Amino acid sequence: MARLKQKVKKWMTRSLELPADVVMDLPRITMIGHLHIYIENHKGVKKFTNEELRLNLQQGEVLITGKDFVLKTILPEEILVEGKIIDVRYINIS
Amino acid sequence: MKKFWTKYLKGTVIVRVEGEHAETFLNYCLNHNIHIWDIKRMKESELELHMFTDDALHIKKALRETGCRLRVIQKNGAPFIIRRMISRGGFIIGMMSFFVIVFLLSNMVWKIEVSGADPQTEHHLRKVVDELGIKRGKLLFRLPDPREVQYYVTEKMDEVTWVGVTLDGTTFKFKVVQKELPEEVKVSGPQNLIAKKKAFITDMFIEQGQPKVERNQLVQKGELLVSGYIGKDKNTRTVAAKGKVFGEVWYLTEVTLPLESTFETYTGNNMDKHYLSIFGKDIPIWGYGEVPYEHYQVLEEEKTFRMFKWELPISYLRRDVQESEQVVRKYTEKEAIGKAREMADEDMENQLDDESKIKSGKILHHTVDNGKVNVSMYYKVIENIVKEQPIIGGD
Repeated sequence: MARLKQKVKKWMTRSLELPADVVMDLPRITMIGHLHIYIENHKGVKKFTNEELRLNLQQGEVLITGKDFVLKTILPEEILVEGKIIDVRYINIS
Repeated sequence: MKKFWTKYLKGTVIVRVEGEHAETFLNYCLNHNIHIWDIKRMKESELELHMFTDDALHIKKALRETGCRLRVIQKNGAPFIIRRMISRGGFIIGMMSFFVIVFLLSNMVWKIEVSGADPQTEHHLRKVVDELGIKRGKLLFRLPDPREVQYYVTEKMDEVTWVGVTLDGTTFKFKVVQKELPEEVKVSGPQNLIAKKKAFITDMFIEQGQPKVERNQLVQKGELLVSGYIGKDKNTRTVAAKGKVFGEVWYLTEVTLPLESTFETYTGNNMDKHYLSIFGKDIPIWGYGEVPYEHYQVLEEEKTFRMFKWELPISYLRRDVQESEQVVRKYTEKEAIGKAREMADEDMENQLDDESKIKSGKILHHTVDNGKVNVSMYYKVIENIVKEQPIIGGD
């Protein structure tokens, strides 16, 4: 059943041209150079240090590495990180 | 993402959260709508973050559940500043009393300046002003405004023609114009006297000169009355002819009077309304409610407060609502004519000087149209008709 739902959603984004982040509950990540990164639709903080931020997603995780991280804003659905971003990577995406 | 400048009003704290899994504390905050921001990792097991004071007092449960400990590093915002200020009460009292004192001193009479008056008049003026309550140290908004003072002082003092009163900051300035009675020392050169207007001569008093007319003679305007040439033939010389020649002069005046006229009078009922005017906005302090009168007129009185030499945008405003009444006055034709005649008489009297007098006055004719009475009056007036005319080139 869940698989079917997933398939319907994929079809909807493709054929009805609906934004994927809304329909499929995916994160929307906005970066401003290497200074700011803005993640919407996350599912909680898994790990936060000066060099690393690990966020839970609907599916898998996102790992952001860099230097001097500060969580400027943190809200239930969005996070703004300031610092020097080196790498953004998805982990465990099925 | 919003910048909450209001957070400084609410009061914020910087806290350090220590624990093995500080991230769980973050997630707890997210899920329970506790606002946190500017999160930094300080040590391996320590996070520094900002939060509201209110929230910081209600997260004991979160700390217990997540196994973290909390330390307050710094307190920011208005509540803390206010608390600090309250603890230094003397400072606040001093500041307030400073403003109160400056305010009071700025609204006080400091000096009364009188210019243009001799010592005697000045003394009198100061006494009159004193009676009004204008003294050094009196508060300005309890005193009448300069216009009233001016009116009162001018009324009270006979020896001055005019007193200008201005309020310059904290100084009352009186500018006095004294009555001067200059003695008329008019050294007139040789002159003739001629008639000012067409008249019928009734009386003559000649001090100097040679009369050229007689009593009961009709003279035209500009006719020679008294000549400045005296003597005969070779002994002729010129003098300043002087004297009075009274003649009967005729005036025709017209008076129009409406038969029916309406005007407003005060009934004596009034109502005071007091306002505090701030930046032109009137805030009622006393005297609410609708004006219960059908017809009324409003008299305004405004007193501005001062701070140093500036006027504050705050002023006290008093509106005096006077009930008025419309009165209709009606005359019958006969009454109207009588009234018109009275008016004409009065008018005539006002035009004439002390030496002249009205010999007789009568109504020539009257008409009534458009609810108005037009009356033509004919007056016989006895007055001095002399006009001086210098003799030029005479010797």
